Amino acid sequence: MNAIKPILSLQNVDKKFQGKSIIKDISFDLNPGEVISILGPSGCGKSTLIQLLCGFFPIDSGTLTWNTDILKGVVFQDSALLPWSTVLKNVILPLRLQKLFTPQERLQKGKDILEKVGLSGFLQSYPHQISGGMKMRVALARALILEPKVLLLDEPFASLDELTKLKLIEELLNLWDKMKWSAVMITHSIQEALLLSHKVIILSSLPGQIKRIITIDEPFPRTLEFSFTDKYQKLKSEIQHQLLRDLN
Amino acid sequence: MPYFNVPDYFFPSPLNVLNYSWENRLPLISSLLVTLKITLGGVCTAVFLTIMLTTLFLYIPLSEWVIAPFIGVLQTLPMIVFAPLFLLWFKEDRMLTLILASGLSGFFTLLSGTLNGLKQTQRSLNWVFTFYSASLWDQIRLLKIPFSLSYFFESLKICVQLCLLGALGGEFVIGSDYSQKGLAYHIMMASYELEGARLFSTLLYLIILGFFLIKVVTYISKMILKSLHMVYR
Repeated sequence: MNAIKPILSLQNVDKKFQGKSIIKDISFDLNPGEVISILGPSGCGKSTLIQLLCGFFPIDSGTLTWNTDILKGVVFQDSALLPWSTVLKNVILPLRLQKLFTPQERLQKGKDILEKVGLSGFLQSYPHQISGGMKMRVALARALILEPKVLLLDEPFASLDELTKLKLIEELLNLWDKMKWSAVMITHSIQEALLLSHKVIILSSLPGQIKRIITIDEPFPRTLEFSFTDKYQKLKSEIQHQLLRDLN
Repeated sequence: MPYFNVPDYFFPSPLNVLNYSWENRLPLISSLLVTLKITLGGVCTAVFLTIMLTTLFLYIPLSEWVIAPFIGVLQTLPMIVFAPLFLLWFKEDRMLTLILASGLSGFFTLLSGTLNGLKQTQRSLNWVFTFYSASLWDQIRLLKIPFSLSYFFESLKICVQLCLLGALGGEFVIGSDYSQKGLAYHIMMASYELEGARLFSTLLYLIILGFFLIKVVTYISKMILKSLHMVYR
């Protein structure tokens, strides 16, 4: 039997800043098509972890291995759009930076991906002319334009209201069904973690260490109806209990 | 005719000032144009030096670490005190010396404002560029320059005023160019000859010049920032 080769593998990863341990002994694998959520209290090193995965800083010890040169996309909490560029130009930025395709092809690809995220009517709008939810969809389209195998999501719904968030979660699940990417998502929300991931990794407070990995044994992609089931409530209580125990 | 027995050299009447301004408009406008020429030359010098040093700092970050302390010290000095030295360097070319003195008077403010703008770049946007392996040139032209433009223009407004002061101060220190006398020449002559109306008329022209320069820079900056969608309409 062939074992599935993980896309990303972390073994005993440590990171310190100015001598202070931020994350400690983190180990997990990300398999193809799998979505992992990282949950934990504020300041436990979740964002540091995603920054390490992005390659912004080197790790201090342990191993962090990506399976070959895999294409990645990233979405940050504040959408990080260029205010002076149109929605379309923001979306094609990764193609422009990596000098891929001709300018005409880039624009076509941008239009195609914006259609997928339901923003084909806002190609020439500027970020200040669209809502927070739309900005996040633009950031998602930008992350998806390279057709990545892995998405790194740093609290993508943190700045959105409840309704917009739920709508975006539904859209993300639909997109996953078409594109089947793997993802690591940092979040504060148990709801987002339970709806959007196969596994939830719970980190302790500083230094962030893995306290528990919960596998959500439910069909994927899920629907919002899952949040009304007993199983959802049970998993939610379990995670809440784990987080509260760390708090106390 | 002095009002309230205050002599004209002590404090001239507004009417006398306006009269003098009108009757001597040709030499005053001619001097205003000379001061304008020096100031614009100074502004161009300041912009050129700012672009050169900023580019150097962006490409070789270590250079900022080495040069920044010297800039900090020089910033505290009035640059016009070096004007006699510049005059020697430029072999008595007064116009060139005045332009350099004017430019250096505004340069440090422009440089520090621009560098400040470059450092204000949104962190997550920097990360996006790093994540997608953007070249340094792409980072500069697509991110850093647009982000720092509004800071640059804000500093340019102050720089223009400082260049104007530098142009006047330089003329005070090294004297006017023999063929082209700026507004400072009239201020000096008015002081020597106790001509209150001439002094205030020159100041009036100076105010007009300063106001005009600020308005022009404000208009240009607004046009450029608007065309680049950096101010929200």
